[in-house]
Order: sequence, then structure tokens, then C-alpha cells
Amino acid sequence: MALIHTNRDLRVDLFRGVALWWIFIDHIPANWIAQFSLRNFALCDATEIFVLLAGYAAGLAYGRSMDRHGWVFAAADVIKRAWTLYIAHIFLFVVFSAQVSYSATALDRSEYLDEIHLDVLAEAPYRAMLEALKLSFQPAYLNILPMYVALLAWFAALLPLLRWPPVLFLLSMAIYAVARATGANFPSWTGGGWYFNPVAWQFLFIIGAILSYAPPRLHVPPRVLDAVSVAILAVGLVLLWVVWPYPEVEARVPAVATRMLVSVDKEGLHPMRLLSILALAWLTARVVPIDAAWLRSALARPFIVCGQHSLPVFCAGIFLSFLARLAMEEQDGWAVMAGVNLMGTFTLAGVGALAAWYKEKGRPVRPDLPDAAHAGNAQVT
Amino acid sequence: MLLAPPVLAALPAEPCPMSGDANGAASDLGHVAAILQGSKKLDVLAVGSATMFGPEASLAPGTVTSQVLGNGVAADTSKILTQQPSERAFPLQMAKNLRTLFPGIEVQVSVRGGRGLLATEMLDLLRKELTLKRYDLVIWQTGTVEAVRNMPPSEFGQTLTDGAQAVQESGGDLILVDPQFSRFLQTNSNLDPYFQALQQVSAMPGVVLFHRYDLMRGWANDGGIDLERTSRSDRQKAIEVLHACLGRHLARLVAASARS
Repeated sequence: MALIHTNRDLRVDLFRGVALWWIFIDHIPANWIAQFSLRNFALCDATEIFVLLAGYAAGLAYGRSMDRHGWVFAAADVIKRAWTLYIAHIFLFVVFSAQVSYSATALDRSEYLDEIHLDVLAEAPYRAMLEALKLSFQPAYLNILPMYVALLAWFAALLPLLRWPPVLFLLSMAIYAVARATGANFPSWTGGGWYFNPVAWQFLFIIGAILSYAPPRLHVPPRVLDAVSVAILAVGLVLLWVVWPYPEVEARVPAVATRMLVSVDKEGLHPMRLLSILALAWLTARVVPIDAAWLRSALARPFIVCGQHSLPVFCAGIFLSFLARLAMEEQDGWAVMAGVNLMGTFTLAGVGALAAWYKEKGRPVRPDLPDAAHAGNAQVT
Repeated sequence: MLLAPPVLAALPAEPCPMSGDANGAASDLGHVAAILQGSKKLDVLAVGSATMFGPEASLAPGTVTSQVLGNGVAADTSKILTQQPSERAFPLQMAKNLRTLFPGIEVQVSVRGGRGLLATEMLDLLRKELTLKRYDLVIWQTGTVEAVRNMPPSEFGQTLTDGAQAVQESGGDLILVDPQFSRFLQTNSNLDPYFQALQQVSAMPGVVLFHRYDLMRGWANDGGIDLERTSRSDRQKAIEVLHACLGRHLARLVAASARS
């Protein structure tokens, strides 16, 4: 039984799997291997990858469904997917809260609760439960899924506009501009707004959807876009490695530039972050052809299987990263750090494989038709 | 869950090396300097959240004092439980060190605040206290809760500025204390905007920033005191040592102002 579906754009699955791995790695404090994750090399990280690819997959799957069966049919499927994510989020919230509060009590560390924003759960439990259900109480680590739920709900409403991509693009961009100008955000219980502002992030999601459903024709030679992308990523690298770590250098940068770049914020998807992820996506698509042989290699397979079943892998990753933190605090040292990273990675791949097995078992075996190159992506995860 | 029995690391022999002055010029504490040189009485008000109060941090409910959890009712500062600080809390340790450095001076410290308090609530508390009594030095520890709850940094900066002005109008000096170093916070929260706000406000006259975060990070990296890597049985002692170290360094900062 083949656990991995190969009749789809495996690049999407691979990079989603890599993003999920980075999310696990990056959530472990003082993790040596985290210095090699994307956020140290570009002004974007796993979240941007995730949202762009989610939009990409959604545009393809639900756009196709809408073409065949109409808006209501497709939107109903989108809402159903959002509902599944919502339930997974609430389950993860309960499991994670139990994990953190048990650890805090057993190890006598109240700061676990304070730093993760779970102290308020002990203080006002009934209110906290209600706010969690309304998605306005998002402890640390639990802020991606609520944004994803909101983005899918928004996408369900906008589905028909996929047929007029310029209109959809402009509408989404206008809303993004409003979010950046006014700071409009969804309300959160303790007053700070959602950690990932869906009003801003929807723009990246919609761009992904348009790129898959109605890819725009290039009006400039690809080499020009190559150059622009490299330039954008170079600016990001310079900021990360040269300007920001050294205040003396930062003082020399012209004031106009520093004002613009003073906070390349993640909450509102700063334009530099948006441009960085788009540049990265462009260059990746240029460098990695859709039928690259290494996509089917043994090393790629764990990432692909994770990418194809991203929800259970994501939830497992959050749980495991906190567990890894506990292990590293209990016993410092390279052995433990290497151990938690390796065990965590294998466990994630195992979760992905298990999810794949569950999906495949009992299905009649069919050969994957090679020419429907994108049909497989219709099973959006 | 554990691969091996936990290593019961003894507390480091040199928990907080007195490295070079990480705190920069303290010449801004003019009022405090005058008092110290005149050997009179120093009245100190310390306002902060959980880490202000010392080793006996409690996990029990009822200790998070923030009124933001109320149901839309405006913060009532009289309802904020005033925890009693431990003798080993760093503001009191600072007082002890100052009495040693300046014999004959009387130092009195009042500690207010509580776990989970936001800067805006601390500002109300501060204003109320300043109307009740005249303080020479205010130590204000804030920033962590804002970072955890993702509050807008611009509002935080404004709150700090308002507080600094209130302290200035009452005739005292202000020392701001930034968050405690924590690898977890470093990885999972965006601390930079809040640090920038603290830095900006500390440029005002009569305001100095005590770089607790940088100090603790240096200690952790140099093999000194490191709370996140301390085993459970040693934690209480480690927090006491940390507060003692912070008190020493804070006293050094204040003393430097008197000599400059």
C-alpha cells in the first residue's frame, strides 16, 4: 500500500512538511538546530510558507469543486474543513493546557503558565474556556490554527471571485492595506488582538489561491523576476545578519529606511515578509521542477507524508515541542538536545505515516494516473 | 519522559560575575545622588509583576492580580491584592546593599503590584501611591506581561512615558527594570518592540534602565545562575541567589549615580 500519493505536486507537500518540521524545531527554546531554520535567513518563516501553500491547495481543490458543482457546494466543503480545524484546535488547546499546567505543578514552575499566557486560565477558568471557544484566548503556540479557521471562512465567502482574479486580488489587497494602516484586528480577551492578524494574512492566502487556480501570465521575462526575488531576499539577509545585530551599523542606515523597517512585524504580515515569501516561492518554483527526481527519494518521503497530513502532524508538533523543552530543561547538554530533535522528527514522520495509513486502509488499490498532475492536490489537507 | 535521572546541578560557584558595567551611565539619578551624598533617608517605591516579589512565587489561584480579567469593569486598584514581598526580593536586597555602601543612610522600600499586572494597571497604582507619599526613587519593573499578551508596543511606550512624567513631577527618579531573561520568551514572543519602548523612555531625564535581561543572559551564558536549567530541588535557592545578585547590581547602579 502506497502511503504517499504521487499524482500531485509533491513540491507543495514537501515544503509544507518542511514548514511543519521547522515549526516544531523553532518552538523549542535554545534549540541549536533552530539557527538553520528559515527565519534566520529570510524575513519570513514557516508560518508564511504554511499560509501560502494552504491558499495554493485550497484554490486548486475548492476552485475545481466550485467549477463542477457551484459555489454553495464548494463553500460547504470549505466550511466543513474549517470546522475540522476548529475542533482540532480546541482539542489541542485542552491537551496543551493540561500538558503545561501539569508540568508547571509537577516541576514547580509557575512561569510556564505565565510565559505561555495560561496563568489566566487558572484565574478565571470559566471565562477562559468561553474565550478559548470564541478563539479570542490564544495561548502561545496555539495561534496558527485560529488564523487558519478565519482564513478558510473568509475564503468560503470569496470563492466565486476566483473567476475574476484581478478583482479578488485588489479586494484582498485593499483589506490588507486597511489592516496595516489602521491595525484593525480580531479582538482578543486580554486586549492585544490576535497574534496573527487574519485581516492582514488573508492577503497571502488569497495570493496562493489565485496562483493555483488562475496563474497569471507573466508579462516580464522570468529572469527579471529572478533578479527581483534575489534582490528582495538579499535585503532580508543584510537586515538579519548585518544591520539588526549591530546597532552601530543600524545607526548608519539612512533614517528613511530604518523607519520603514523598524518593525518587520509578523502579526500584521509586514510587506517585507510578504515580498520575501513570494520571492522565495518564485525562486523555489524555478529551481525545483515539478517532476524533480529527488522528490521521490527516501529523504524527501518523511517530509512529503507530513505535508500530506498536516493537521495531525501540526498538533503533534506543538505537543512534542513543549515536551522537548521540558526534557532540555531537566537535563542540559548536547546529547539531550540531539535526542529530542531526532526523536521529535521521527515521531512527526510517524504521525504522518499513521495518518496516511488510516486514510489508505480499506481503499481499493488504484494506480496513480500520472497525467492528472494536479488532481491529487484536490485532496486538500 | 526523562532519559536519565536528572543531574542535580549544584548552584554555580560564581552565580553572577561582576562583569563590566552593563548598565551605562547612571548620572541621571540626580535626586537620588543628592540624598545619598547627604546621608539622609531614601524612600523607595517598587512596582512590578511576579518577579518583583521574590522566591515564594505561588501557583495557587488568586495570585494573578490583573484586573483585565474583570468583566469590562474599570480597573479598581484597591482590589489589587498587595502581596507581601519576601525579604529576599531584589528591591529589598538592593536596600540592604545600599545600607552597606552608604553607612548611616536609612532606606525604606515599599513594594506594590502583583503577578500578571499590565503596565497600565501599574500606572494607576503608581499614581495613587505618589499622591499618598513622596518617594525619592521609583523602581518600575514591567514589560513581560505585555509581551506575553501581545499588547500594542506603542501603548506600552505611552504608559511608560506617562509614568515617567508622574514620577518626575513628584520629584523622584525612576529606574525601569526590563523582563527577566528566558529562552522561552526569547523564542516564542516578540520582545524587541517592548525593549525598544523601555530604551526610548529611559532616554528621558531622571530615568535609567536597569538591563536585567542582558545581565541574566550574560550570567546564563557564562555558566552563572540559570533558572531554566536549574533542577527542581535547587530552584528555590537559585531564585534567592538571583534576587541577591540583582539587588547587588541594582545597588551598584544607584551608588554609581552618587559618585558621578
